[in-house]
Amino acid sequence: MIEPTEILQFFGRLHTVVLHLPIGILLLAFIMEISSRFATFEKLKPVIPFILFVGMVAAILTAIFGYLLSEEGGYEQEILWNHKWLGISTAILSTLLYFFRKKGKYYLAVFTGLIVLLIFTGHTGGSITHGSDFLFEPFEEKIIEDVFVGNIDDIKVYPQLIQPIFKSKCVSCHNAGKVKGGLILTDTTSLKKGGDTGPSFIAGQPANSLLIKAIHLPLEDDKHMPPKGKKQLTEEEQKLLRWWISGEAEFIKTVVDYPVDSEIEAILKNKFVRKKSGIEAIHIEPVAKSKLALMNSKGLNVFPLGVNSPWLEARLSGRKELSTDNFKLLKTVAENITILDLGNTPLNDKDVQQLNAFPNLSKLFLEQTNISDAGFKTIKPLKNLTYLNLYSCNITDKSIPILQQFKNLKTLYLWQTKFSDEGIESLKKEIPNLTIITGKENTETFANAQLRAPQILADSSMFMKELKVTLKLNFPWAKIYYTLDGSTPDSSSLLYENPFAILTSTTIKAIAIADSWESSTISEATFFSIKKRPKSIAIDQTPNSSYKGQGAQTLIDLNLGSSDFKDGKWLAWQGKSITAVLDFEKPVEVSAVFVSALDNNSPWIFFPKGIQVWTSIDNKNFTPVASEQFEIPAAQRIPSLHKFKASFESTKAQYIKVLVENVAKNPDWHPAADQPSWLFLDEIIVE
Amino acid sequence: MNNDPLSKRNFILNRRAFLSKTSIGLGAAALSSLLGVGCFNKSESGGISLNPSDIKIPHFAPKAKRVIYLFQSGGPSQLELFDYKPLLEKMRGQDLPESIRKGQRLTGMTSGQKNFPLASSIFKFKQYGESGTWFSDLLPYTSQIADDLCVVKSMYTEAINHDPAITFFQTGSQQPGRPSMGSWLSYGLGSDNENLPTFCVLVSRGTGRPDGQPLYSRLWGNGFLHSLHQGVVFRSGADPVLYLQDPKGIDKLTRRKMLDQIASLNQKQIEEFGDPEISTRIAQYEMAYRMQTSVPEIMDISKENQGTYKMYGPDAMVPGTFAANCLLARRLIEKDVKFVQLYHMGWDHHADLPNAMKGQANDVDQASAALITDLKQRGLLDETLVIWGGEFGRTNYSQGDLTNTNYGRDHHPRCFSIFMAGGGIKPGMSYGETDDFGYNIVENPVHVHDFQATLLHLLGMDHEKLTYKYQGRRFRLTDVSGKIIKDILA
Repeated sequence: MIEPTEILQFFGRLHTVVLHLPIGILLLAFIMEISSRFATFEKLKPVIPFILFVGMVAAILTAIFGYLLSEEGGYEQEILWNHKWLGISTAILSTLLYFFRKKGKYYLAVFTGLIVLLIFTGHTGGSITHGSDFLFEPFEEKIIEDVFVGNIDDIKVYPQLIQPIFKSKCVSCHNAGKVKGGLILTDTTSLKKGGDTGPSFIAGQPANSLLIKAIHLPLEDDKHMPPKGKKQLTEEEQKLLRWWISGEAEFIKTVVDYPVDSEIEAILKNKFVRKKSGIEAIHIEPVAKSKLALMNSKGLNVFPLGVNSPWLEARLSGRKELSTDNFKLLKTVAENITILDLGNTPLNDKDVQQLNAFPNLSKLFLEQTNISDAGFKTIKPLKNLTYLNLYSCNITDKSIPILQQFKNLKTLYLWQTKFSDEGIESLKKEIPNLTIITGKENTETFANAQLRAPQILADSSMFMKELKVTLKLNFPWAKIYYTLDGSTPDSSSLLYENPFAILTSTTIKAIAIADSWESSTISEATFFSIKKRPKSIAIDQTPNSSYKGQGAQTLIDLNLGSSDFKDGKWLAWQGKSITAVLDFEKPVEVSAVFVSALDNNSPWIFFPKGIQVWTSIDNKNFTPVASEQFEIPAAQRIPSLHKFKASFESTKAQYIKVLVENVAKNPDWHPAADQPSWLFLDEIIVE
Repeated sequence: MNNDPLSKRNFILNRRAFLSKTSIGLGAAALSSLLGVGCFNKSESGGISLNPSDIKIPHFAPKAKRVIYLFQSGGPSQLELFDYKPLLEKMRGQDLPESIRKGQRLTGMTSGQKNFPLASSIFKFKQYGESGTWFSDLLPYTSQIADDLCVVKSMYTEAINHDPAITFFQTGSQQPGRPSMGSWLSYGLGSDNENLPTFCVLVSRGTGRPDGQPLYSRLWGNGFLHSLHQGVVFRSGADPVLYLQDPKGIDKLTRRKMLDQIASLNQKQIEEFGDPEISTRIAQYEMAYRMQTSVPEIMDISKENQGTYKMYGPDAMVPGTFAANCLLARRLIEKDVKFVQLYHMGWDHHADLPNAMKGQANDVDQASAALITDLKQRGLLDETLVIWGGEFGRTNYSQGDLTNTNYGRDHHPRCFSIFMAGGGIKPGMSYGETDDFGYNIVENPVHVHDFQATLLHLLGMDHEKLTYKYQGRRFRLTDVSGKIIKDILA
């Protein structure tokens, strides 16, 4: 079915046909109008309105179709804008002219205006299709540029390098007809003579030459040339001009007579020695879009490199199968295909000869396919090939004679192939600009390799009955060994196979070991079996209102905080130590207290300085049982979490009092030394 | 048409869609174009086709087909990594001269500071490779591949705080709401793999400053573009893409049937209203269905060999790290995903910079170098553009006290360094220069929009033509500026 948009598109494209009508008809009407004023053609008068009417209709239609065409896009915006509004104006003006032809005394003037408008509209339209310099190109002097001259030394400095600059940037105002500032740059005598303010240059003294001064003045300066708003000299042109003046600044010599430094050489090379090579030099007709669409609907993936490029890329990489139909279809556009990606497909030795149908390949992807030397032998030399990927193919030195014939090859990928070092060297000799990537050098760069410590994963670090623990390392070649008794694990420890359960408080240590790898560091995690949870907790200091969690209860909720101290599971106090009393409701056996804390020095958070523990049966008489002091850091530490332990002889108690000492003041080394530091706790665990 | 208020409301909401649907007559065509829907199902850039896998042709033959953007969030210090300034060593501790600062605005964090003591890098610099590119010893691996890299030392930006600066880098505007770079590419170039999103995002936290700046999901948002151009986040852990897996008890067939039913209902809605977002929704459901197979394939790294881990480093064994994400990025690129965006957080070092930098550099150095090397040996670097860099640089003076072992640096938008590799970038070069103080650019400045224009150019797009008309204005990634940096093109 034809879509409405397609119809609109069709009419849009009609613009290029219809546009000739208003030009012809309105022009005819104008000629008849002028002619009818002479006696010989007086009888033309009555038909003029009719012709004007037809011209008006044609102009309106053309404007509408043109608008539709512009919606397709792809035109230079600025010139399109001009053309669009000129076209619309032409349509409107012709309508006005038709309807008010009897009234206006300015009829003829308006008609003339319409014709002028028509010419401009036509011209801008032509510029859109043919390029803005199309019409006047024959009058322009031919500038020898972008043509390979064989030897840079033979380039004529003034005619080929300097004169073109004057011509493109200066002479529009400095010519015999328009002598701005008395300066003429069209002939060498006037150039030497200079303008009103003196000679335009002094050979060998660029800094004192007016030409050079003028182009280097600030853009806002009135004396800056070319004036603001005009096309400025490019950096390259400035350099060339200065180079010419600092040399002899004469008019016939060649580059060999001028001192050439690397910068100028680069400019010259870039300007002149850019010979088209490879597929750039081949002219080829594009394939119709509809044909590509049809091919793609049959399961291919072929598309042009760019909107205006005739060259195609065919990407079949990653396919599970390649059918002969695929190749048959591709061959119908074989000449246009320049990039062919067959990587990671089951392409085999038989399929390889299909490639000979594609003469213009510049990039060929054959990596991770099933081809071998036997198949590769059947490839004919691809003289435009610059990129060839053979990584992970079963190809050896035997294919070197074939590869040697790919004279334009720039990069060849041979990682995970079986080429010998000598083979690769010989290939490099045959093809001068070839880079061969074997991946061998990388093994050196990345030689150091230590395994990462296994992760010890469990739902929580505290549990009531039992806890499933998983040890994890995304590295299938390593074995994980672990201990449950706090001893250092090695290859004689327990071998991890499946997740296991623990029933009591346990410290797990794990290590990863693999051949040709340095063993990992040891990862460690402690899990707490909570047999009895305290009934309640009381704290003598109210936590800071920003970090108050769910109140004191937070410290015995079996829910640990993360390294993010704002996660709501942390209680915090600034500058103060705290005392907590835990009530177990009835006497229980206790032997250790763990205080879980956070250290993050940048935001003033420090581990506790110490903990002290008392036990009691009646909440009145407390017996001191443990006191631990910890180090205050001497420099900033990496943020971390830790559970501080205070163990003591097993005793029966219903109440446990814990004093957690705040460092109180940021240490001397801290950027905010002596400011009150923070104490962050998320849990107090009694064992 | 129904008369109940709800469907009336729907109809009003879809006024634009309705008009565009019925825009067969010429007047309506003109109107629809005013309303922002191209009348040939095409915008100036070449398409708003709703099927993401539709082939879209670039403006000209591209040098790069894909992008991996290793975004270093927080503003890594160029002075500790790439931009070597011997003068700072000589003038260490002296005050930054006003003749250099020239009234540059400061953040609230240092504006109250009484003096600005110049701080030199405590890390040593050396030249590497045939190109002689400078690197500090924080990057022992990246410096080994100096000849594959193009270090741009003269980047500058307009924003001075994280969120506006990252938003500016990713969307071309400091204000939120514009489409991200990856969304623009998805819109302009379409997809090469219908089983995976065109724009994938991987996020990791740094060890140098684990509690650093957060990121907002709008950084990979589609803005006003169709929502199927938005970035999809891949997470570490059991559920890499949220809400992708079928609930327990739902098998593949049931899911298929359900999707078909929903699609037929949605199809009815399209016929009634013609709202393109409905087709987007159908396309997204289908994409999600295909991703149920393709995503586990991507995440399953069991087929990688030991050599891979030696390259990317042991961190690659731990999901969610920058190294593991680099490995995933390569796997996504191998599957023709267009734009893979990594974010590594934690580069915001106002204090304790030396320690934090060590941690951060350790996180990313080996993996970044490995990724580039790995792409190269697979022949992928040729068509893949890799970018490494943050949202701004850091000051040449210390924030807070400068001691022999410790200092910090504040945000600095006037100059910073990034590096690029592959996909049409000239390898083994440094571009642009800063002054001896490392404060201002003296040669070849590169604005964020210039960078974006160059990126689009490498992908075969004219940044002035890749536009989307929205609310009466044609929007571009590069807003109203941006020029291509030709000197760094191969």
